[in-house]
Amino acid sequence: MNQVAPARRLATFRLLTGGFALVYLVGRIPYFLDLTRLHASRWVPPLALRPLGDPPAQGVAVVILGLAIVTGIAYTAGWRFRWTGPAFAVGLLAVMSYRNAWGHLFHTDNLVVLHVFIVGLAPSAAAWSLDARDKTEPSDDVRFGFPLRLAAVVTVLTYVVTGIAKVRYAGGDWLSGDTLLHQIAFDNARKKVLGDDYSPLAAAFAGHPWLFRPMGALTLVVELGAPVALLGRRWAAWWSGAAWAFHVGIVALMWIAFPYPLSLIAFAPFFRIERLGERVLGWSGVRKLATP
Amino acid sequence: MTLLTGRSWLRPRSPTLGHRQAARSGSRCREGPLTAAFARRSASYAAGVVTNRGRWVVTVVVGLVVIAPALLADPGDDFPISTYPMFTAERDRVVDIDTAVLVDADGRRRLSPEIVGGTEEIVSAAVTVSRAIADGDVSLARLCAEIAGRVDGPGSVEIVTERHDAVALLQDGVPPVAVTVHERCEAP
Repeated sequence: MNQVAPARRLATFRLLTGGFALVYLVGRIPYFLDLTRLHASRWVPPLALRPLGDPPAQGVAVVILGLAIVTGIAYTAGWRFRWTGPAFAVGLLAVMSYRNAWGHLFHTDNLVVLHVFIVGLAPSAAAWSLDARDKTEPSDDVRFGFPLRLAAVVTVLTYVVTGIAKVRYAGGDWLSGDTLLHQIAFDNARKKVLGDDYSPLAAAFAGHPWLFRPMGALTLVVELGAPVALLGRRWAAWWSGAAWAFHVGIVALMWIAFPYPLSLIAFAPFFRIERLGERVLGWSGVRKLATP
Repeated sequence: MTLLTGRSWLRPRSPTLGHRQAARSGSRCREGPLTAAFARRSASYAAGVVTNRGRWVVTVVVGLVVIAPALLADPGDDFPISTYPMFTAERDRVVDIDTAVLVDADGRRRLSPEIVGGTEEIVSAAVTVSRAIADGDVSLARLCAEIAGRVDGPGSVEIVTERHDAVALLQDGVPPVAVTVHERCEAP
């Protein structure tokens, strides 16, 4: 927990999480507007929205989405971050909770919401931000390393919980491959019945049930073995690669995308990600834009 | 509002501490006069001494919150703290799939997730139909009317459960082995 890090590393994570969340929110505006038109009888709010009782009025939901996007821009740019960081974290939680309040809990957005909370409550705008203009960049410090370490721990734990759920609810059937095979067959069949795109590989793989036994075992190894990523960068690199490949496999076989890990941003807290930003800033055109 | 730094909510215990302690803190300083650097290191270290415990407390609390669903006896799924139960439901090769179809002069047509559930999310559409079936007649009639309002053409909307051999459906497009109609209503 005493990991010292440069301010730039945390700033890079701010830019990555903010950029990801903004693209997500803006790109799905039509979808969020569709949600505001759903019948109130479908409202099953998650924890953060439970005190509301009924769904908020359509106008209120649209305003909150707009505020989340505006604070998201400020969060990403690092403008008045002391206020806009926490505000965006709350706004993103509100919008994503709203998305999860219509009878089905998606599990694709949890980690980005948790990471934005960590970044939003940390001194993440001490470098590469509007707040940091004309200021000397602070020296490496544990206050920049700790939030990243915490984000890494949260990433690891979400995978561990996922692995425990498989052992708990599916047990030996998961290791036998049957649960995985039937889940993939069911999920793709449902997509086909409901007139949606489905995995072209699923039908081919379903004819070879033996393939699902090693897939089931490997899935558990990746999920329950996630804590190894905290042992060091080399371990983190191997584990992140395995977890990313696992998500690619889910896309290939189930046509289900977990955009946050697929973007690799979920695994960014393990690495010296400031080098990415330094490389980008090394391009002369970008340097001119970034220099006050 | 900056909570994870520790400095804004925990004060340094002592303003001056020795070099060895400063070095142990891991704080580094690359520039500035020696005294300023020393003061900065000392303050940083002092803050570190106090907040080290705080950081561990934050980590343990956050970690427990995230992992709690896996440790509790009968946890419910929620957001953003979740049991992550995806892909763990017990399924067989033969499965029941709830959906809605349009029956018109051309026959039986499948409807898109947008028409069935009101959004592009296919899982949401499927869950909406399943919940209406579970909730009974009033919910079924309401959902049927909603879907009928989104259909672009005359015909009958049917809310159905189709029983499929999932693998056969995927491999050869085999039709359902059974269809149960729960609700029927006319599209305008």
